[in-house]
Amino acid sequence: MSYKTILVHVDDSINLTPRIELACRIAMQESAHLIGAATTGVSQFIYQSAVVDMRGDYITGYIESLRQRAAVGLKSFETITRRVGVPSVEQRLVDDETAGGISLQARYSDLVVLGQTDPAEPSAVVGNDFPEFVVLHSGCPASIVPYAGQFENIAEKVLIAWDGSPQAKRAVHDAIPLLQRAALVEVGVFNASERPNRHGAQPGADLALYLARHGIAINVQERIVPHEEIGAALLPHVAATGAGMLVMGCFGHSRLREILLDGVSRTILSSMTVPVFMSH
Amino acid sequence: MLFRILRKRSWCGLQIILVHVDDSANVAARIEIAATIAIAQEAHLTGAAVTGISRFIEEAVVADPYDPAITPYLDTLRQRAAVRLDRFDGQAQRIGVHSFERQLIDDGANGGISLQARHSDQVVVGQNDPIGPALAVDADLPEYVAMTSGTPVLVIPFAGKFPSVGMHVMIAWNGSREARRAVQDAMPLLRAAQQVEVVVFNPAERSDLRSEEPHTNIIVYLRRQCIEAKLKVENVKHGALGAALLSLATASSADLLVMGCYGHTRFREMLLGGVTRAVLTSMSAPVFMSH
Repeated sequence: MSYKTILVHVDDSINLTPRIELACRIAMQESAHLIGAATTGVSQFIYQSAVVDMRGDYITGYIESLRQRAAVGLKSFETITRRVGVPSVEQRLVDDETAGGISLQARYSDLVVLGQTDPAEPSAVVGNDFPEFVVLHSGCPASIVPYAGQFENIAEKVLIAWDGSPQAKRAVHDAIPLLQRAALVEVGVFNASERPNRHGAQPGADLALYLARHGIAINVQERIVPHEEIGAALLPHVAATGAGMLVMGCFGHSRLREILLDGVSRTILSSMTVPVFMSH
Repeated sequence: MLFRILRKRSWCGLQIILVHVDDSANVAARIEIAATIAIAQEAHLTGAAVTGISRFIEEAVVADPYDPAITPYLDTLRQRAAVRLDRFDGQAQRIGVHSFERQLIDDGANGGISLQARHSDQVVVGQNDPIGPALAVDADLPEYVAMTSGTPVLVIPFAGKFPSVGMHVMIAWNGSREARRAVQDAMPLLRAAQQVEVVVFNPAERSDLRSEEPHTNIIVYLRRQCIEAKLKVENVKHGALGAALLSLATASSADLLVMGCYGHTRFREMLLGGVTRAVLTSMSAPVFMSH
């Protein structure tokens, strides 16, 4: 399948423009409908609660100001999509808390484009674990755009971090439309000998056959690094291959009010240098 | 078998279909369905049979797989699996699959099929038959593969004939992550269907369905993927959802049910959601599941 509905999260952060531009490029390539969604950050449950009187002057003023702030991001979304010339565009102002609201909208999308969390710019509407929350809860693949930098050629060269896990399989499958456009697809297999039952006799060989049937040729490279350094080793590997995008599974569990990510996902989400495509 | 042979509309449809070949009573029906889908989707078909010999035997110091005392035993298991694969080959050839292969896997069914599934777009397995279970196949194979492989599973009932599969599809929609996965994974089948129905149970109870226009979102999403679907909203007693879903599928003569597979994996057991369990035990038509 190809992407027909793409959702981009719109807020007031500094890296909003490259994020929207990336979403526009993919939408144009795939002839997809592009939705820009901004949230007020106020839980939808507040509207159901009898304790809060939503007609009170104090609270309506407050919510109005949140809506105005969300509308600012949507204004830039409108400007950029018009400049790029995306044919089918829609804006949504969602009265909801951001992580839950965007996850729900993402269930009706084929790809969601999010921004990496910038530790230097704490957001008013987004928690630190926002990208991983959406990846774990929406069931929709996410393209996470670093908080700094410009990303023109994301799909020219792509690196897949392959460990034979169901999450990595999901990510590869979900990224097929992008992989089919790439000129070069590199696959990095780290420490295959640690998991012989997942990889078979020749790590990456089964994946190569699988992707070949989808018309995608790959180059497999095996690396051996100390186990706890896989995340750190992956980043220079991205730079060395000149990849414009990294495709990987996102590993983690959600607990009450926190998300436990595994080491590699955590390292990549905090130190990524190129857009990362993740599925869970 | 009456399937509409469709030109591949999407360049990203099903490319590899894996079918589990065991010795259960309905395996021929299962292979036939997998083969017909492979032809319609122009996909490659892999028939996989497991020997039941643990893949860990090579690593086990206690058991030497080349020990003359156990090789005859292992050979027998491999020969049995090979006989099943011979039947698969014959059937695939007869039905006219262009591209197919056989895989003999030294492993149990759960582990072997789940690993092989990671390199496939869809896995076809059989529903567990409580009266005459297949040899060396765990009772929870369908849900195990759905939950652990990252690949969608098409489960074929252990009894019955299925002259058409996927002409009239019913999607059980509850707005959840799993249901979304199932719909997305089933897209190549949905495109080939003549009729697609979306059924939503008790929308007021589901916080996942909250929004201004609750469940119509899914109809819009499907339309963008060129699929016209009809929406049906039903209110039933909680706890009776599984039974209600199955009788609704029968009443509207759906020949394929698409739904999320809900559950958690625990050490050596699966905790399944109530509706998933009800459907997996009592289904009368093929069911497509993703986790």
